Amino acid sequence: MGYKTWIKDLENNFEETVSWRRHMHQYPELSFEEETTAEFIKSVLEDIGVDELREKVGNGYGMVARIKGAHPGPTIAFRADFDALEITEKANVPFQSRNEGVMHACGHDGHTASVLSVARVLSEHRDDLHGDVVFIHQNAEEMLPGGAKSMVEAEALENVDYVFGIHLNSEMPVQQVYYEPEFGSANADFVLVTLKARETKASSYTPDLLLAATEYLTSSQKIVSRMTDPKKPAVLTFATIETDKSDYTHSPKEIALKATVRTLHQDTRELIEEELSRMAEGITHAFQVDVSVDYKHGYPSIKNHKPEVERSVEKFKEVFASDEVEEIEVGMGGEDFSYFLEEKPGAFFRIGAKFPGDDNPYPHHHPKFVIHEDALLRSGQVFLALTEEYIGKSNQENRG
Amino acid sequence: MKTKQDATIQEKQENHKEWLKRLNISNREGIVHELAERLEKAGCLNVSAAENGIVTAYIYKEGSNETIGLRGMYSKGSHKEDKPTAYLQGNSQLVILLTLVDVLLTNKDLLKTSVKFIFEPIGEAIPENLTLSLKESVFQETDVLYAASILPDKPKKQLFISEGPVFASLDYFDIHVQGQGGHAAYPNKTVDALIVAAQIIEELQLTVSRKVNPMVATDLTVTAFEAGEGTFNIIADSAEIKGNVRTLSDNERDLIEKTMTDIVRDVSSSHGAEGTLTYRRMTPILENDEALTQQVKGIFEEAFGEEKIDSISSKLTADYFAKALEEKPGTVFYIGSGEEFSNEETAPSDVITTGVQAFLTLTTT
Repeated sequence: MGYKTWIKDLENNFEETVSWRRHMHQYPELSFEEETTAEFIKSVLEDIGVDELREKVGNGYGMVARIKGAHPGPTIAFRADFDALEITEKANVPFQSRNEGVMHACGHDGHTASVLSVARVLSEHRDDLHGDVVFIHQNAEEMLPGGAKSMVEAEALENVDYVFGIHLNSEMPVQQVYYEPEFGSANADFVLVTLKARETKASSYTPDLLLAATEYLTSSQKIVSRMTDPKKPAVLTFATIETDKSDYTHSPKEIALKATVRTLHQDTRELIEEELSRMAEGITHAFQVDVSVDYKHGYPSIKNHKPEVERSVEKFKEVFASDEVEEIEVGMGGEDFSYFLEEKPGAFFRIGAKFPGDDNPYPHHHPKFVIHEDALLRSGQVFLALTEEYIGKSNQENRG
Repeated sequence: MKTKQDATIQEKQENHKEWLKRLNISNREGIVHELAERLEKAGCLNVSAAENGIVTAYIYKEGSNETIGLRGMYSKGSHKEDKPTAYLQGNSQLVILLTLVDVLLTNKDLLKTSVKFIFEPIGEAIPENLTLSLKESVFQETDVLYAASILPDKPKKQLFISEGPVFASLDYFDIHVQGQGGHAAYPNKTVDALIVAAQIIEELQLTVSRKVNPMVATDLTVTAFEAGEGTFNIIADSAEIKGNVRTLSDNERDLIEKTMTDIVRDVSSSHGAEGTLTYRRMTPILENDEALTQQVKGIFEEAFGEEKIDSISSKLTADYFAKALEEKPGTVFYIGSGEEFSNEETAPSDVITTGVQAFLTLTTT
């Protein structure tokens, strides 16, 4: 028994894993509304025969399960999110969403199926485990405040020594395993800038509110291009402009600008927040309008723990083909797995899920987003490799 | 005659003001047909009310082959709060012309020519349906056209008139910027239509400040800017901009259109986007006919005294009446109403009387 047997079991169970994924794909639920998804996960975990199961951990339907190894040792945790998005699915798949206007368009159904597949395997091999495995099924990754922070506060990581997570990626080749040595995601903040016209006397200059907004939009880009440390990545994107009027002759009296700020480093984050406010003051005076900035901190950036990255990657290179394990540059997406890594050492990995030969894959959050289901197998293999590395028998023997 | 006429004017305008007050109660529903009916009852002939709100009526002078056209605006709205300037302007012009109708009908023997009254709804800048009036030949069957506006910031009962450009041309523009949307965290993988559109708006202002002759009054206003689906984290795939351009020179108008076309196209393409400009010329510059205006000025000076007549500088408001004046000689003049204007439903009575008297000098011997 051991790792190789686990992998064989994982492969033998693949059909079941895919059926779990497709079931969840057909019945997706929005963040904080994942009631039936949680019930489904619970039913699978109970069928698997986990040793402990906590429900409604944190601010929603998150749950934590544990399989206890036969031998003492550290505890590792694997995390998978299970919420979906407000998107109408247009992917041409036989298991298309049956919940109108909701879709698993980010691969969370795949994450969850993969983690469940690992639970299934390890439940049959407790004798091989020198330590426990905790399965964190997390709600509401897609919507602030997210589920991760509240699950941490609800002691989901109690008696856990290491925590790992993965994310499927529809634009990266299936079979590939990617790691980011340091940052694994960005600080993802959200900004609402509101501009309002002031009452003026008819005979005096009438401030142009739309021009003030435009000035703010273009000037604020200089915060990134001229004020931040060029070696510290930063993105400021204004995604929406909304006005109270829209015709040829009447200027708006109120404008809302919606933006997101992505940074890796805390000091850059703080600088951008400060400068956005300062710029608002400048526009207020220059254009004689009222500008207010509401800056909301979103998820912090993932900071992978170097020792765990190195240890994990060494293991991956041992069990996978060398060209299947690749270091990549961090992207500026947000991910609340970061909260778990603020508490415990661990790392976050990305698993390719693009169909071979597809030169134009649909990105995440697209109505036609699809994944190659072999990525579920690869994800399971990654988690089993980590299990072998941290609490596997042969590993423990080597470590004395 | 003058004193008796003034008394008649005073009495008649009060009637019409009362009628407007009664109309306000019903929120002025059906004002178009009410107005037509009023003109018919007064004794006008060939009264018609079109669906676009234009009402026309005639007073014929027997044996005359010529017709003077008088254009007046009226407000469809019943509440001063909604559009105070348009409301007061429309009420005042309407009362002036309705009072004039009464006086002319009782003094038909003094008419110079036949008179055609053209009433148009005011308030919505250039309502596109009103362009139908020219196609429907509302201003046809006239030989010369006159219109008057009330000026609240000018001395009461003073008349203002100048030849040449009076009102600006008005053009509408639509700009579409097509980019490529995507995740807000990866702007380098997208073409952000929102920020490209913002850059275009910035550049457009340079058209006025750096390209147009500074001696020519010009205004380029962006009034609408839409981009994004309401999210914080999806880069806009496209953006829409709307606005208007006003100027007092055809040369600058052409220059502006060309410069805007270049800016939209080139700023967009420099960012990998595609920008298209749709530029619509809604109304030309309103130019008072030089010879006619000189003539009218002379008539006013004789009737009111030279000290009561003054010139006026051009304004950047637009009036699609300008289209009519491209085809017919005509003049727009102003009547000052002083500061009291803003506190009443119409201009003060003596200002209304001045307006009626001014038109009387143009239509009667």
